[in-house]
This record gives sequence, C-alpha cells and structure tokens, in this order.
Amino acid sequence: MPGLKEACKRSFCFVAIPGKTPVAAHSQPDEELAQYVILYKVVSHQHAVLIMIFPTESDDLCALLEPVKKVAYQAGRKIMEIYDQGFDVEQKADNTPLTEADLAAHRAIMAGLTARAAGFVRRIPPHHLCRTRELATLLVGRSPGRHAGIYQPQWGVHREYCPDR
Amino acid sequence: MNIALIDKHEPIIGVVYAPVVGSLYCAARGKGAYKKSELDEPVPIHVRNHCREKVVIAGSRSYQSPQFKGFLSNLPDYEVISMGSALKSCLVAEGTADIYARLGPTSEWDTAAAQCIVEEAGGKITDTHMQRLLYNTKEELLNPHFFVFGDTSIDWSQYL
Repeated sequence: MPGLKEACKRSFCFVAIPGKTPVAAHSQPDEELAQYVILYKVVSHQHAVLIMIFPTESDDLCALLEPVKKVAYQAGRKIMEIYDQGFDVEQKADNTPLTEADLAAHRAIMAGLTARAAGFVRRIPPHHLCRTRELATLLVGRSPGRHAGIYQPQWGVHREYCPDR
Repeated sequence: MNIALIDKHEPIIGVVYAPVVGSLYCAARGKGAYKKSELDEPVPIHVRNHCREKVVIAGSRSYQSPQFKGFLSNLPDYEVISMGSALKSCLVAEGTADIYARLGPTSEWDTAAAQCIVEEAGGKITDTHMQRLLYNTKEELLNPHFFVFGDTSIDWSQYL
C-alpha cells in the first residue's frame, strides 16, 4: 500500500501529565488546581507543544479511556480521508500532503480533547514551545515565578499548525 | 498516533492507533491491554513471556544505529520485523516480537502510550540499565535508550 510506511511513522501523541497549576504573577501563590497537562507533538522535528488542563475528579480509568479511543478514531478517519484522495507521500518531497493529513488529524484530536477539557485549557506562546527545558521546568512546577506571565486564557498551537490564525 | 495519560510519572492510559493498518491498541492501568482490528471485537493481548531461541526483534531494516547493530551482532540468533515506531512496542505487547531495542533518541511522548499497553500486556519498557522508564522526572523530555520486552528473565543489557 503506498505511503503505508510513512503512515506508520506518523507520530501524533498527547502525553497528559498531572501537575500543579502554573502560578501566574497576579494570582495567589497557593492557587493550584488539580489538572492534567498535555504535551502535543505533531511530527518529528516540528513539534508543537500545548498545555491543556483537565480536571482530575474521574478515578474510573475505563471511563477515561473510551473518549480517548474515540478521539483517536476520529483523527484516524481524517487521515484516511486524505489518503483516500490518492496522495502518495513518497512522491512529495516538500511535505505538503503530510502536513495536510497532520493538520486534519490535529484538528480532530484538538476538538475531541478540548471538548473534554472545556474551560481548563491554556496556551503557551509559540516562541516558548520548542524550548523543552523551560517547558519541562514549567510542567514540574519547579520555578513557577520564573515563567509567570507567559500563560494566556486561550489555548493554541504553534502557528505553523494553525493556518487560520 | 498515540495518546497517553501520565499519573505520578507513570502512564495509566495508552492508546496507539494506526489508521492505515486499521489497528488500535489500548490499555488502562489494571484493566488489561487490548487490540482491536477493523470491525473485530477487541481482543486481550499478552507479551511472549519466554523468548524464542531465535529472537524476534521489532526494528527497522532501513535505519540501524551503530549501537543497534552492535546489539544485533551480540545476539545468538535473531530476525527483524520492520514496523513504525510506536507500533514496534505494540508488536511486543501482542506477542509477535520478543524485543524492541530503541538505541537512539526519542521523547517522552513517543513512548508513554505504548508503555501503558506493554505493561498491561505483561511486558516492560526499561532503560539500558533495566530500570523502568518514568515520565516528567527531569528537565528535558528526552528518553534514554530503551528496551521493550516480554521475557523479564533475560538481562537484555548484556547484549549491548
């Protein structure tokens, strides 16, 4: 099957990490909500990272697993729609079709996960996204003061993956 | 694509989906690991607990790092089956392969979902010192080189 190998290499991943709510400069130092933080990678070398914050009240892992599977299927359908239009990844050196499939799946995943995280989603500006050391620092909450103020009340991804913005 | 949920440095939910192949692997901590193909019902999967004499390796035939080549040369006998990256771990989880040795760079988001699936299928993902991979424990998000395997009686690091 054309493009099979490339499709298998496709590496969308969300890693949700429960952590302390990043403390913004204007908030109380101990204002920490239970949350999950999500790292998001689109493709190798061009990853976007965003932080989504999820409530943690659900202890039923099976109940959590089901919507995640649905999100994966929805994103897969988007990828296959683009594959079924007949593009062959191997013929394209400029990555355009790959990006198209990536974007379609990305939007499906975002929509699915955002629905689960409504009201709890925050964003890091793109210029911070690739600085994984800072990101990790911020994820583990080691020095909240240092990163205070980089949070905004909206979520987003690297502008490369957001042509609408 | 893969989606994982990490709790206290450990993956507790993992979904790996390959839409072109039509296979979805999933697991939740304490609930077992499953594979669902196309329209079939999900079936529980389990690693191979006893490695065959001819070790089946999930790997890449096209690209092999010098370390990986060294690892292969130290094994008594082996065959390599080629597959996309997160799916290599799933081949171990479902008992098709004995080991996936990743002796190159990866990030935490590359392994988290597969680790939940492999562990629920009775296998392990460890670094090359046979220590379990953990998440969000250090400044950077890079993984060490790692092994994914079902037969826990073998010290795979001896072949490095």
